[in-house]
Amino acid sequence: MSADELFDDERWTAILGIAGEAIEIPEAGAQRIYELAKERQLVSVVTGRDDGDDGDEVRAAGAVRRTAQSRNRGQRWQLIAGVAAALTLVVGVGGVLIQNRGRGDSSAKTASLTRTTTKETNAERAYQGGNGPSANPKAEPYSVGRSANLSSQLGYKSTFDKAGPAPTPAAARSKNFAVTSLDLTSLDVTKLQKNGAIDIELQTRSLTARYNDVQAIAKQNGGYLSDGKTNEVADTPTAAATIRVPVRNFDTALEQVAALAAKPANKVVSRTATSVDVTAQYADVGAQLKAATSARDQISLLLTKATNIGDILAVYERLNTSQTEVDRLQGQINLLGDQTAFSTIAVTLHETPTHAVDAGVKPKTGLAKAWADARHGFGNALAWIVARSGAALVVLVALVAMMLGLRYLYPVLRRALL
Amino acid sequence: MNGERDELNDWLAASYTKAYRTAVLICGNPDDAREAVQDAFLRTWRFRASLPPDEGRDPWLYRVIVNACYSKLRQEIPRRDRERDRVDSAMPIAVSAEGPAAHAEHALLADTVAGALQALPESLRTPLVLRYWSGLSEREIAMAIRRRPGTVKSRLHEARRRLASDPALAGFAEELLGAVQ
Repeated sequence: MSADELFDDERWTAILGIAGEAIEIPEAGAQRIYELAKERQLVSVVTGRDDGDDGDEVRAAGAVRRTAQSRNRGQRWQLIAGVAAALTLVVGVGGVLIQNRGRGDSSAKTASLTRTTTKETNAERAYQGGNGPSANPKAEPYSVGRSANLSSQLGYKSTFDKAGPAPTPAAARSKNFAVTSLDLTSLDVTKLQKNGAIDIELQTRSLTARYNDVQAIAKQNGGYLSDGKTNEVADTPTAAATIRVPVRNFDTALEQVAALAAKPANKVVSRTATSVDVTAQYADVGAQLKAATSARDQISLLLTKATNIGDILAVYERLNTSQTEVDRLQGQINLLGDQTAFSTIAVTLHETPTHAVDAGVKPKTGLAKAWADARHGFGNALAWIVARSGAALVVLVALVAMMLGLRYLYPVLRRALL
Repeated sequence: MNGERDELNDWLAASYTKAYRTAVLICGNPDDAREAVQDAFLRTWRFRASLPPDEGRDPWLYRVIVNACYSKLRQEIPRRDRERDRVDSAMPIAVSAEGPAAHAEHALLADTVAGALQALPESLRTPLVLRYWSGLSEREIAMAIRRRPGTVKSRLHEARRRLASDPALAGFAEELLGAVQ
């Protein structure tokens, strides 16, 4: 008969009891451990009292602190987890808000600089980016004057200044435009970029005449036609003209263009004007240009002192890099100067469609308008949710990851501590 | 504060005997067991703030003791040294009050059971000791050794099967039956 067949749980307990009860217990085992714990100050909170050392307030205070810290350890983990979760939430939500606010500020800034005078505003039409004076031979006289003006504003002492006559614009923009000094104190004039756009609806068969009027207005105000395009479609011919006029004549030119719609059959559909202050950017690029020019001059000086081929090649390479930087900054300065010297007005002309009146398109009212508004609102809300889902998803993933981490990390740490 | 300290001290003092014998049965070595229990009690003092409520204290303590025992068993001590220590410091047997002959018989029986226990791998020995010596339930053992209750149950079954088939223990079946009746 085997033991397995003989013994049930109760008998196994008794058998293990035989082995366990037979083990001799060390004398004062528990007391010795307690003394050891006192030595290691694990129970120092009561040591002073047990030993009659009531006057040792420092030890008692330290012991109380350690005991409190130990007791609160579990709660502290929960607190840390809570604070971490709250911080993650705050950072996530804050990031989303800041991101949205940045967009809002940007929109507000644009809005503040945009003056809408008619029932519609099309900001994208505000500035189409002209091709510059070189695109049109007529621009040459103005370009020369602009170049001279820019040079005086920047305080340049260029090689062309020394030569006497003002350079052509092409020469002024060439890489050989050697700036030898830049007086930043001359930048006390505010640098403004002014752009405008105007959309005019004309009576039939008057588009070509008005297009020519726009060109005449540009010329009359000391400007030029930067870009022009006409589209002779049967019912709705259109024309687009981009004119550039000196900034000082911007308002006059815009008014004159708007006056083309003075006849009863014509009307201004939209009109916008923007003004951007680029003074700080101008000064910044100017300072960079001055520093880069100085660095290039220093490197040029080194080139004269180089004695062997290796040094010469090395210095020459640096000189090339430095010259490239000077040219890049010079280009920026030239562009800013051009944009602040000449304003751009984008003019759109289109004739009223002859069948527009017969189309019978009536403005929506009542339920139809409500339905259209509802559809519009639904689309906007959906777009809003989709636009913000990215940031919200990041916050959500971070929260889930943190919760999972705490869920699995906390027991591991707790076990490790025990 | 003092009340808490006294209560903890009283509980540890009351638990010491059973804890020490549990550690001896798991470690198979009184020296390792003494150190393991000492480490476990010091840890209990240190982390007394994390002690569970009353009903969960014993499993908690045995978990710490088991960890301490495993830590001792896994120390880089050559096995032959451990075996030598086991022989040198063979389990001290408590003196029986029934006289020398009864004491000798009892000692032989206890030694046989202890030897059979030590023949088991620790993964089987530990749940067996905790179940039938320390009196923990299968669920509490599962908590102590961080295994699922099903695993504990199967290990207990396997431990019982192996212990029952131990030839030395089988030879004492009649004596064991007499001893436990």
